[in-house]
Amino acid sequence: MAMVVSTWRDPQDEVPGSQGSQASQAPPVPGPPPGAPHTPQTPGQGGPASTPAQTAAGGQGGPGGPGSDKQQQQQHIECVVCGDKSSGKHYGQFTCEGCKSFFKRSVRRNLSYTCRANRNCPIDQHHRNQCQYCRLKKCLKVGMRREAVQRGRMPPTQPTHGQFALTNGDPLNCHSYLSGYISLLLRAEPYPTSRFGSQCMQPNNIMGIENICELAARMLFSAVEWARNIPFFPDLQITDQVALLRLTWSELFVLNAAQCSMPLHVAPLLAAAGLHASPMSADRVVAFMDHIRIFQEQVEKLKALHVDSAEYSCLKAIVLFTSDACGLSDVAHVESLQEKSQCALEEYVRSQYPNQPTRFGKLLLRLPSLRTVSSSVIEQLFFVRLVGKTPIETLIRDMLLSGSSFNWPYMAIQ
Amino acid sequence: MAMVTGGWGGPGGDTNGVDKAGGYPRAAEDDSASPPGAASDAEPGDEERPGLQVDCVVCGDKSSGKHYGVFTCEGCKSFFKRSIRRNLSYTCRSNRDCQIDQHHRNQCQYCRLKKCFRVGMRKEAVQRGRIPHSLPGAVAASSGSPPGSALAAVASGGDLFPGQPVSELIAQLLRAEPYPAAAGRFGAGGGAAGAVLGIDNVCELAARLLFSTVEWARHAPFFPELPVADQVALLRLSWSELFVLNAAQAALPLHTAPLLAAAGLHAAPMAAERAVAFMDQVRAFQEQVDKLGRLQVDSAEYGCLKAIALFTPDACGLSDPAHVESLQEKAQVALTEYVRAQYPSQPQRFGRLLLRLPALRAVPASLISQLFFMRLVGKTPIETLIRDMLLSGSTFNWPYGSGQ
Repeated sequence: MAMVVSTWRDPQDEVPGSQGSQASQAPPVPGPPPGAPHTPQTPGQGGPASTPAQTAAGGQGGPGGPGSDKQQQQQHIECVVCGDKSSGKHYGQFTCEGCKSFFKRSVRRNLSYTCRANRNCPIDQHHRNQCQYCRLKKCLKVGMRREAVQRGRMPPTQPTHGQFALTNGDPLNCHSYLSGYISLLLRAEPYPTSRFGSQCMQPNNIMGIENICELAARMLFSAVEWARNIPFFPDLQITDQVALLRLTWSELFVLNAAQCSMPLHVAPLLAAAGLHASPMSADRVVAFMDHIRIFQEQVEKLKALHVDSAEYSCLKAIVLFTSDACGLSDVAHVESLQEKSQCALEEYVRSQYPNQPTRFGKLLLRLPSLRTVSSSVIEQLFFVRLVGKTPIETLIRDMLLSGSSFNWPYMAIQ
Repeated sequence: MAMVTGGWGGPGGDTNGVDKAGGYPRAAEDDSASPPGAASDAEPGDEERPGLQVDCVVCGDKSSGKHYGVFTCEGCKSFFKRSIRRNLSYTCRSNRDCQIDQHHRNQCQYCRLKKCFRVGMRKEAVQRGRIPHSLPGAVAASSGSPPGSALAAVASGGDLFPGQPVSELIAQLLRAEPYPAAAGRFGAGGGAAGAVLGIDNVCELAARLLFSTVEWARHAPFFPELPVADQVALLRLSWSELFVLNAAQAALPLHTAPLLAAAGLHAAPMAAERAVAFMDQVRAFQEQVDKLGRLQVDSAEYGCLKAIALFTPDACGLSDPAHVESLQEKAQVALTEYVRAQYPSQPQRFGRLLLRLPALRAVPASLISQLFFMRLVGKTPIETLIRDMLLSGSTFNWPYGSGQ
């Protein structure tokens, strides 16, 4: 069990360095105080208690002030830190989800940053990730309150005990920590599954092509938004974030399609419409239809496994944190995040499905098949009508950088 | 412990004798299968050698000899053994008269077991556990394998699994290796030539590796019982993944890959963008081999990973995808149990190993084909070669040169 502790610590020790690297765009700066690595363990202590509630609630809500309901954008207010679209008041001020999460992480982990310039870097929507020191400084300057940040779901006296137990490799705490990780993954879902469900379950169960494409666009957007809100991903360098999403977006899309039970029987109709619009050679048509069949099969197989929300979130994290992406600045770190995700999935499956000893292996064996689904087919099937010849990779980068203020070319989403 | 291999469950003499004879029908099958592929698919029983080709009396599949009193295939033999050893009872969801044939035998275990008894399989013939300590050598010697090879396998087994029993499936996977790791054939080749191999040597080594990949599949448990069309479909999809796994297992000296790529580029110039993409793919290939190397995967783990990669239900046109999926599941169960028993200090190891498989799909088969085989076979598609290897077995000859 010491291995688990060791595995858990390494990412924490690297995360501050990674953040420093992100701030400086150069060699990493010294990490935070030694106590910092233990702080993230605090949220996990509430894992067993919060996970059921979280699952039952469908991942709704989260810490923050009034008006934090993501599903109702009743007023368009700017984030007082970076000017991005605010999702409501958080820690005393109107902030966007990015700055809210950044502030929470910094306070909870007691992180300190270093500015490599003159401590007056501009903090706006597009540059806010370039200097964490100045971003945090501005958060405090505009009035965000440290004391408003919850330290986790346990009383303040608990962290010390937790750290002590964890240091001794207490298996229960390791389990609690991974459950906390899963809770954070679930909380990052921009749309509760029920919302997709209601969207998909039209009374007549037949969706027009326009509705399908809109749903697909929303699913792609939610995949990017989910990534932006999960633990550790926002702390990676922007170039690494883009590289990971470029490689994995189609796999995340398939997982989301299966999770919300997207009505795929319409796909052949879409393909026919697309083919009619732009004729192909006979060979290419056959190959294209084969790819569509593969896509449909993967979704059907995932549904046949009856994967639950927690399992989907772990699978998506495993897919996202792939060290196969080109040009990553810290391959070992991404690998450790993938390992954390697979350990969380294994522990979850073994505790929740004790009568299915092969379930964990079955879930992981869905992942090689996801790589078989051609991303260009998904692009052609669902997005060409929306965005014409704009490459999906470009859209993903734009979504990542602009967050909730992203507007689809030719069409507004949300 | 129930999973522990019992070796030969039936009467030793009968089983071994028929096993020897059983080798011939397979060769005959392979020879006759080349001209009339469709006929081979349509007629599982080969009439040319009636004395040697016997059907399983339970499901009609090809029998590998007498087991527990009657001629059965490996599938029904294993099913019967598991049911007896674990004292399993099943329930029929239908009317207890389900059809038991090669393609439906997995759909109702109750009726399958009932038919096993009806055709005369004997419960008492099933050993309850490992054979006595004094018998391993004798059984191995009488198995028909060359004595040296058998001893090497036994010694290798003893070395790899000190004091630990190994599941029968894993033992069968290890026996399927055409060149056992203990023999060090690949290693010796690499070592003898020093750290640097010429391009021709690398290509020859790669050809041997591909051949051994197909040969391994031909002897992997359950694979020979599949219809030939399914065998071809599975190998077409998985050959490049198996090649990468074998390259990592054999420690192929891949540092020459960039040299090969450069040679290839010089021979057939590409556009700058294509050249960059090609080099990226070469790097991805090398990375996968390196990552497997860093995990220090052992022979049993490689065997299971290859079986998992081979039995992929995603292949197009399979006659029974559910059956293939059940075989993949057998392999992952064997891997789970093996890793947990052998590496108790690495609880994440099983997940780590399985997560190597998605990455293998990221290495394009066309890259491996271009990198290692273009010089040997020109424009002949690898898939065609694989089908030929599968059907002709050890009599296969490489176009333009002898692979062995």
